[in-house]
Amino acid sequence: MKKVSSLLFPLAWLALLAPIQAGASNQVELRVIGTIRPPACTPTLSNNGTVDFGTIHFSSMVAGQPMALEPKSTTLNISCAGPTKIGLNIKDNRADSVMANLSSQPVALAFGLGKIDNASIGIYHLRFISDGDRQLIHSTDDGKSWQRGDYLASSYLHAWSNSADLTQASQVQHLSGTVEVAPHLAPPETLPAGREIRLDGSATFEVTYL
Amino acid sequence: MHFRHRVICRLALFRVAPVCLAVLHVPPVAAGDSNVLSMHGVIRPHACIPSFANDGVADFGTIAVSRIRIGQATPLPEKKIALHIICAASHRFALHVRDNQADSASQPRTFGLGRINHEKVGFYRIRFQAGSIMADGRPARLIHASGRGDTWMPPRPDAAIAPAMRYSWAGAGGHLPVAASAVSTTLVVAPSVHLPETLRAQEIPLTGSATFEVQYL
Repeated sequence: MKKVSSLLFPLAWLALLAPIQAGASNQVELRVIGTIRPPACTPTLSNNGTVDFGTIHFSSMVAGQPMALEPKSTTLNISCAGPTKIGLNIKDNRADSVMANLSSQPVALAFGLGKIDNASIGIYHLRFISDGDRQLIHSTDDGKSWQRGDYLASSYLHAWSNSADLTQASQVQHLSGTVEVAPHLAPPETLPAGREIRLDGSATFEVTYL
Repeated sequence: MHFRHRVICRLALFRVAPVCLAVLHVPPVAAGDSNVLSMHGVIRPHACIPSFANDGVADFGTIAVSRIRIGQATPLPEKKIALHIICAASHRFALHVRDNQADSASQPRTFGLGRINHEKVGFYRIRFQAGSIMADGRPARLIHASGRGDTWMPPRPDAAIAPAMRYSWAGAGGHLPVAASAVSTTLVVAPSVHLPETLRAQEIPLTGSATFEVQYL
């Protein structure tokens, strides 16, 4: 009982100091929360997600110019235990190496290729080509509104629509498509000469539930 | 210009200095030379403060939809949460529970878990855990009365809390509310998810909210 009586004074003061919030202190809210998660979905990328551009010779690069490499492809599969309204987020694990003006695309669509000696190696773009009728859509306001577009970006929430109405995300159970990876290397004079430079892009694909 | 000044004070009832709540109503200026300034005040004891453990959150976590029978009410495992009411002085009081999501409740004595796309997602029941009420350190007996009535009686054992009722506590064998300065109990929260087919494919947040209010008797 001692504990209780020691609480009395602070509580009484609390009541005295809050006269405007009439009734607030004699009420308390119980919140009952939780989340029902739709069927689990798994994204996979072909070749364990590795896209290898082989060896590029320094001598093939032109001073003062970024170098666009021939795009290569990987296949994205998403498989769900049941029809599920899904979104796709892509996190650029090399975002600090993104630079502007290496391609004709907006820098918002660029993923980083990593750095060497603090110099950005370059960027790449990801373009999605659907195997079926589904159309890639993306949202920049967390799913409130959607637009059509082929490019994937780390600032977008992506989804797919299989209807004529491209402003709505559709349910997906199985989905596959080609992800085209198009690198643009930084001009050679910005990179350390005489050393092997490894392209080091890394992005994490994450399925979210809408 | 004249004043009407009305302050209702019930000072004698409370040992702790009560709070005078004065509400000043100044009506818009009328097209005349007289105005009515009326002042109303209510003294409230404000002396009993209810609080929940865990900030009042009963979190049922993430539930895979595969565990839910679509189209039927599927009970989730119950959770318990402690409720304490501490008063600055000994009072007779009751608890009234208001459902802030009442438009999503679907049966009597249930509270709503919210709506998605206008569809109800489920409901929950709350009950006092049997034998858990302690008033000033002594076991007390749960009693209830209808919202405005003062006929107190023990509810059916394990009956769910109804938003239409008020709940209080009596001493052993008694049927009338007893004064206490500290009351504690454990509430059992038992949700059931009831999803229509149209909500099978998306993430559903459960958003139940109920306000527990101390009413002085």
